[in-house]
Amino acid sequence: MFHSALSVTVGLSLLTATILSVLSLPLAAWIVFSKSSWTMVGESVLTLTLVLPPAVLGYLILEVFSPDSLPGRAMAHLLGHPLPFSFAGLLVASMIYSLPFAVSPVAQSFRQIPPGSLEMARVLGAGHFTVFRKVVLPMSLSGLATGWVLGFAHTVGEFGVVMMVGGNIPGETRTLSLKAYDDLLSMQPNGARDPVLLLLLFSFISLIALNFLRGKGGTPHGSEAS
Amino acid sequence: MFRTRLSRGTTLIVGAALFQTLVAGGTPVAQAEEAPLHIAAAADLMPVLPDLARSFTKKTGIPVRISWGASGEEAQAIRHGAPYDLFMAADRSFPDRLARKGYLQKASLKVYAKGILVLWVSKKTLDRAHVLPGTGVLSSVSVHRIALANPRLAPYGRAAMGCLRSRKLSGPLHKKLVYGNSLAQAAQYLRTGAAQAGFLSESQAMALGRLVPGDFVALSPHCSPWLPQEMGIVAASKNKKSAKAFEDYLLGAKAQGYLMKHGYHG
Repeated sequence: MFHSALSVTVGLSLLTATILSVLSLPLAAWIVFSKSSWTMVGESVLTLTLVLPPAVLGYLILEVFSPDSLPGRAMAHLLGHPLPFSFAGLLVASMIYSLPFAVSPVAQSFRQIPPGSLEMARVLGAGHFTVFRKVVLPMSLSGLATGWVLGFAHTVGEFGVVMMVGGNIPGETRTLSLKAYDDLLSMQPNGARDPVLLLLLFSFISLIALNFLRGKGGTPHGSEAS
Repeated sequence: MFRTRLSRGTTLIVGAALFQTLVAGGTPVAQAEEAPLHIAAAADLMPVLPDLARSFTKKTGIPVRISWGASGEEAQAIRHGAPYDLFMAADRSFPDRLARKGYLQKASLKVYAKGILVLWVSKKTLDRAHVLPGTGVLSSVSVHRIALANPRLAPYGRAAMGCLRSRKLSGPLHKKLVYGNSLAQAAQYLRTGAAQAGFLSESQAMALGRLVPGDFVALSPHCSPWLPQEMGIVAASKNKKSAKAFEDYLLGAKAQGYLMKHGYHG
């Protein structure tokens, strides 16, 4: 029982952080480099879940992907089961919920690249994609890593959304934080000690990793604002 | 220099993916063979259902997974397509409503036990106020907080609210009331001492009494009604045979005897 909660949490957080890190590159590039005036709206939408209460997000996901709705039916057809109350549903919810944590540090790194070096590359004949791959990406690795760690840590710490969307199913959607809650309520003498200790450990390691990344100083051009 | 940094980043991601494969690969093996029976159970069953489920598994070989919550929470989850096989509620109204809408099989609805609402008071409070437990103690100054389950989600919370209303206490005690999402959370408030008195099922009160000193009473029949608790098989379940087997097991003499000993009546 205990191992299953641990592997659900670790698997969910690793997958969420990794997928978000990949997605954060085009999203942050669009926000920072696009000249479109829609980027303001886009950035607001991306950071919406930072301020949105988990109950609102949980409600929206349940409604949008309920088996009676069109997107819910499409998703159920695709997966073979309805999206809510499954690991896949938890993954989708976590990705939405942790999105700003993964994207912001990457966008922040992109912003700190001196415009001069981008121009230089272009003058030397590099196309958009080459500039991105050869100049932007190497200069943003620490931002990318920070985004990954934040995405991971934030997913480990989720509670409200996973409770609503996951349905607290042992071995599938019961994460460590839900197990801690269940154990706390279960009248066992040891209560929630084990999951609580593990969650503390995860949070602590994540913070050490973040401080380590910050200490490394991000771009070669000086200090990184956090 | 860029290259070394890039490769370190790649290693991180590849390592993460590898770890995930290991973790994900390990899970299905653990739950092989018989498909587990998935029960959504009301929180008043927390002290009794795990033991019953264990002996059911021993007898039939069918593993059981339990998700806890307030009956209302779980009814809502079932309406949204949660993959439960059996719903064990703390009353009849939630399963009845679900069955009427086609989410539960009508023929499978069965009352598996009758629970009773009790008032639990911590020993410290009883000593200080020199009284026996009863609704009178709730107005005492040594009771700062009264715990009950959310009346909209949990039948025991609803019964507790009904009791307070019938004694015209819900108004005056309004500021002392704290609501747990489910009955288990209300019990947790009492266990930590954050609340000094509260309304529980007898099953939860008996479990609580083994952990912290206190006393509980059933109130007058009008205030402490028997709550017939109903179960039903989820219409969308793919595991109806196991669910039926569990229903039969629960209604059998052995399981019923166990329930009687732990705060329920047949």
